[in-house]
Amino acid sequence: MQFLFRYANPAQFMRLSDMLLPFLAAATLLAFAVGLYLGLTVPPDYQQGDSVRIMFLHVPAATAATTVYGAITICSILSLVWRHPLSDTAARAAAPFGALFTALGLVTGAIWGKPMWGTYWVWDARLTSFLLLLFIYFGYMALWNAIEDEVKAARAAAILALVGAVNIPIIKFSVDWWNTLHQGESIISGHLAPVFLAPLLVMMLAYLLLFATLWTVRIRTAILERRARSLMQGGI
Amino acid sequence: MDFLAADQWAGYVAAVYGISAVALGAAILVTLLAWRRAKARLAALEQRP
Repeated sequence: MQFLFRYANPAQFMRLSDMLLPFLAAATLLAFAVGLYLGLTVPPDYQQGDSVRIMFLHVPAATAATTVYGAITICSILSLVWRHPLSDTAARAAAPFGALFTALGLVTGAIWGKPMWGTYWVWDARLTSFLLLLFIYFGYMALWNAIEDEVKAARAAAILALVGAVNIPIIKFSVDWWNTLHQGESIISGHLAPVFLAPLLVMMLAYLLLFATLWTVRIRTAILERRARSLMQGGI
Repeated sequence: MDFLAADQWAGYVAAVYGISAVALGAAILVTLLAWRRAKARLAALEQRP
């Protein structure tokens, strides 16, 4: 815990992130280049044909969406329990990316659903709980913007984030708990053919690296904006 | 390249890749522009007498 506090105060964060950002950006580019190459050159699936290539963007987007929410949940706990100085800023900065990945997961899934299921949408447990995640993201961002006092806004948003975290295991296990049209888990269970596993894992890494890069930039932006605000207030 | 000779699902695959590219590209652009704007604003305030 001391480590978190030592390296995550705004000044230390700016120094550390300044060093890390070029490597994060380069790793993101490399992962996307390798992942896209592998994903676009694997042979078509014997059942799904070329539409299997949609998996290399749909699954990483969905994984990133829930991972970002996990990050927000951890930041919210750090904020509520330990009053960590950067956690509120970090949680707020992550939310738009989480919403974007969730929307991408829904849209790419719908487009994949049409050729595979014959429909863009069904109200099954996985799709519905994932749509709920998008609404939770919207609510979280709206709450931050609705309350003028930043301390109160951070407290309310953190509580909402913790309540919304209940939806994450529901998304994950919905395909086991209910009879859904959405397929079950296939990576850990080993049901995915190895030829598709490599591009999928690389693309998942690429999405997570992209999030890490953009999240870092957004936290830096928030810190700079806060400094500018305090300078403005000092100058009045 | 196999993907250039895609099957009857090519339209769906292209739509997914296109939408993802536009969305992620826009996210990158918006994030970097906000960062540059914040840096420029802070620099201007710090140079203020």
